[in-house]
Amino acid sequence: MIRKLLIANRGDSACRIARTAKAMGMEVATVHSSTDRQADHVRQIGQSIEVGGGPASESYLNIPAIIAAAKTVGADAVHPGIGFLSETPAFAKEVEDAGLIFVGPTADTLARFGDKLQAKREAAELGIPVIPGGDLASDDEAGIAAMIASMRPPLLLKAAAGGGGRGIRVVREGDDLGENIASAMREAKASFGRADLLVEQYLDRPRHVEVQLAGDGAGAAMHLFDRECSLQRRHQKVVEEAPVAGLAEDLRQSILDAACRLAAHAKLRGLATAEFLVAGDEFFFLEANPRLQVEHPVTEAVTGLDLVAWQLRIAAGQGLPLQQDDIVIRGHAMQARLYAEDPDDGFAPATGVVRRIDLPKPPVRADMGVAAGEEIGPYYDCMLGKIICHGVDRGAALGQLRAALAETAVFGLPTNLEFLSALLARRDVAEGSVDTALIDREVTANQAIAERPADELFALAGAVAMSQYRTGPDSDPWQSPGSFTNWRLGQGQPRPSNIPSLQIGIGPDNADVAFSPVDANGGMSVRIDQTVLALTLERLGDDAYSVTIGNEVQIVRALCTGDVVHLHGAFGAVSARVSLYADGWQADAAAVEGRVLAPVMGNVTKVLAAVGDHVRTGDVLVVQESMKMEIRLTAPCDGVLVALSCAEGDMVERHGFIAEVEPREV
Amino acid sequence: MAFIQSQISIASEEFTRNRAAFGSLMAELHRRRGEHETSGEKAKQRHMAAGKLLPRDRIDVLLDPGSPFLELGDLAGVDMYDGVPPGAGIITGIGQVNGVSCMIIANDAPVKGGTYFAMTAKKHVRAQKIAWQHRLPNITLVDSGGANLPEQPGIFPDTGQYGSVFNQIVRQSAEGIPQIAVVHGACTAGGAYVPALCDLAVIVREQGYMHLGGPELTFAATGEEVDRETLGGAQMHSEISGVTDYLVENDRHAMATVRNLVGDTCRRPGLERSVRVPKLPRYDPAEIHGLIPEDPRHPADTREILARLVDDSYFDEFKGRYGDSLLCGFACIGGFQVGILANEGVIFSESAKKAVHFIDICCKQDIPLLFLADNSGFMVGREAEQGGISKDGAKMITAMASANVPKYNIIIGKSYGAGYMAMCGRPFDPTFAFGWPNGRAALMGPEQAAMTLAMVQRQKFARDGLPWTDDDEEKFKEPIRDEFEAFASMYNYAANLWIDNILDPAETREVMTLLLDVAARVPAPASPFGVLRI
Repeated sequence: MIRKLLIANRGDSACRIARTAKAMGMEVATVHSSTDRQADHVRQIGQSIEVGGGPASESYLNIPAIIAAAKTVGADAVHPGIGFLSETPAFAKEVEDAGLIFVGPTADTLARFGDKLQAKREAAELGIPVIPGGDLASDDEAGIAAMIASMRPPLLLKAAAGGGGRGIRVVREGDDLGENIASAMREAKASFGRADLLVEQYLDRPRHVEVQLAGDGAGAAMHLFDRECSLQRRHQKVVEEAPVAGLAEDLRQSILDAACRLAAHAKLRGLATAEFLVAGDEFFFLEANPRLQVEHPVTEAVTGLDLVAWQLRIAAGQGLPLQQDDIVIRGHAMQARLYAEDPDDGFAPATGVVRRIDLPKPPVRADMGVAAGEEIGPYYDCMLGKIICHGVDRGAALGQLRAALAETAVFGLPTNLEFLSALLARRDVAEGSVDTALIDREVTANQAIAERPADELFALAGAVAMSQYRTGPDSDPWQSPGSFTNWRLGQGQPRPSNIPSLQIGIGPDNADVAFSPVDANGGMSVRIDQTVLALTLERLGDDAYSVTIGNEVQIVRALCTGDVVHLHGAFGAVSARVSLYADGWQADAAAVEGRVLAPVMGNVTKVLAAVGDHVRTGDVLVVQESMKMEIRLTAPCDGVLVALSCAEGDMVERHGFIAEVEPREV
Repeated sequence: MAFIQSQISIASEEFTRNRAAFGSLMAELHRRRGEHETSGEKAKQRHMAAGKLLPRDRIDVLLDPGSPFLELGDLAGVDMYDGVPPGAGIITGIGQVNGVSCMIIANDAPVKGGTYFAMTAKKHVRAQKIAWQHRLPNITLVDSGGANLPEQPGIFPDTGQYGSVFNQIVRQSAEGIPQIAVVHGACTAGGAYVPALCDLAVIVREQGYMHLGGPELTFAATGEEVDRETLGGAQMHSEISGVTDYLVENDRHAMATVRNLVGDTCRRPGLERSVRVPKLPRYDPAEIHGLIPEDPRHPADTREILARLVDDSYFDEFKGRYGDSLLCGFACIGGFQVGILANEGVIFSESAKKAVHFIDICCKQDIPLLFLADNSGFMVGREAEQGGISKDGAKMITAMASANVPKYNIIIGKSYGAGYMAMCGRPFDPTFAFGWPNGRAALMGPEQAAMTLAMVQRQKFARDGLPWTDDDEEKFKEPIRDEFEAFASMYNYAANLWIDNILDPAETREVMTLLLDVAARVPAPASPFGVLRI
């Protein structure tokens, strides 16, 4: 029996494990880094020991400190969670050496599965298919040709030192071998300094299929069926489901059997996952992960089992809770991972404070590891949590997941929510015809990044922002949010004021927004720069609005933090900067005086003029880069450049002074 | 509960006809209100080409996003001055700046250089008085060439004219009502005193100038040759003379600066008078258009109007069975309690006595008074005189004049003779006075005036033994009728600032709500009554 469990992890996985442990009657404690003192897992679990600084190497990977923490809290077992130390043999060993239970496989299993080549070799020895090739490198053209001769095309030529897709070449039946090898070597040499090439079997559009395994540590092993994780972005899983759809039953059974053989052979203790690639009617062993997986909830949904409970029972020496025949699956489950990352910035991890999270309501399962007010720092994985739906079939699960994502909103920093929604709306995803390269091949490439947001979005952001200035009670006509907004003596048809009252910035774009008086129903006319459109904004609560533009009604959720309005709606998630028109007075000063100011914050990439130059209106003086956009700052009038305050490489602030042209006839 | 149940059908032919007729009055009102937008295009272009914001745009930039702006005196000087659109070259109104209700007074520089006509001065003084009464910070956006010289008698010598602007800045400042000025243009002589007298002065670089005598006058007077910047430029005043306190780069910057200053130095007082949950009337206020008879000789049904004016159409009538030509009762507008006195015909002794009683209660309970005028004066005749109508009328006037609670006068129909006075017309200093487009106010009705003067003429002709035919009489009467009709027009009242605005009946609730709020934030003094002749 485990009496008290130390969870050596953070985020949603720590919270998830604690939930089951507490339900099983255990006391639970956890650990945190110095930057995680306010983190959600610390608050949810209730007892936590600080084990080091922000970088994971000082804290969540700090084995002595974690073992000391386990002693401090009086734990008799340690759960490594997902990631961090969960696959580190030394950690498992030290936990056990300290007389504590390690919730996971033995150090030996971890070591064997951790070595990818070793695992592949073991699988091959058990008669499990593995991807041919890939284990020998050569920088000799003849040697490579010889390796190829023993294999069946199509084949992959890969730079041994490679990465990022460079130096990779697919050789198909009938291709000129010599030329392909030579050019792949040239590319490898140019990119990585070494011409060594690996030859590997090329799989055309493979699917990622994995099997959830459980073993008692004494040689008994079983599976909890399969999952598909083909929807990956640069090898990072994004959407997972169980079971694998449209897989021939004999193929599925072969894969399940192969996985069980591997688990039994390794005398697996606890849980593991065996991962395969499936191409056509063939499958190939990829690797095995001897731990709980992020995607375990989809298996839980279809089997009705609690996988963490299984881990804890097995670790406590109670053996496997059920027999293989007891395991049945029901319906279909899908999970989407929510990441704090910026789709407009190449999906770079995003940092910032989470202002609010709106989650779908049960029966949708939302496993979250962050709470409102928490800061997402640069040190850890940027996964915020995951949303899991379970339906009678795949169509139902997918439909529910799409609806659940539409209900989900994260305010304060960019996320992949919009990307997920777009991905799940695809026909190929709906049809289940997916493969591991689908996202990288189709979705990311097709994303238009620098498109100017629609006027409707500026109007919407402006109207919401204006409503935020109306903070009085309903009985205060001068400040009431519900009435008298922009009220004026009637002049017939209400029109937007001549002059804007707000400036709205979305990404690198800015617009001046002017409003008409707002009628009793929330109707108004809004001018965005030169375009006028009719919009009706009805407040549904503190943070939700019903917005009508034309014949379309949208429910928009909003959160205003300082000068930013965060919006969630059918258009996705948008953070709009808001400033009073009065406060943008520098723009007018520039116009009058020939001064050039930076429109947004960014980096100066080029300086194309020098003080004393004669310039003409529109001449590019400086090129600035911001939000992946190149912005040209031009001379506002004919004249002489009398001041220039930046050099290439400088960072300039929004509205920062760049240059001044003294008007002169040229 | 005392809800008014409407008895009329909005589908009736009469209603439809009335509404159509009122529609043309509304079209005229909208046209006059919008005239400033379409006039003086050239001057506006010149103004903007100098990098300045138009005065109305300055106000919009100054206001909080979404803030209402209640413009006052928007029809002042209408048709009085050649080339001056309604408004008399100055814009005044109440709006929110950084969460504080402020009186904003802005010279309309593209209109005759923002110079002061008689009505310009009167409107400026009126705005200050409203601000003073409600303790609203004054924000004066100065962009004026000063006095319009030919207007001397109307702006220079008397109280209530341009000099009173200075006086009221000082007196308000002394009472702690913030006075903030921005110098947007050249301020010469008197104009320079406005910002100099204020608590805080902001000046726009290379755009705002202040001097008692400009470069030309200086040269003429002293022979000294000096450029404008050196003599009275923004930088000079901010760095050398110390006349101005904040130097800003442009109009937008000036507005941003004033917003900060209001945040730094002004507060919005709390409510002295409690407010209830506002409710819309049970009937659409716009339906009032169909309630006003097309023929002004026919009276409107005041109760039907009230049903469309007050919250939830709740009107708790006071003494409903006594003196029923004057409706008195308690109601709310926008959640603010008011005591309403509304004519329903001629004022009789009983009506007047009822009014005294009602006004007394409202004063004792600090309830603002709303007078809705639609009367043809007090009753005349033997019975009335013997019943003491003079005494009772005097009592009503005494009570009304003595009341120190906020009091509002709206001419919703006719308001003639002593009726104009008794219903708190301008001579009694109502907190605000308004009129509906159909309103008429005069010493007496046009027909009555023509008759009276014709009678005098006929007697004179008879005395001199001259012939006087019916035809002569009709010819004599016609111009008198026309003259009185024209005088009685609300446009004449608005032009002369005898009322503060002409209001659409449908927006009257909104205007009153905004005003009752600003009034509810200043404590009302007690109301000791003058001697009541019992």
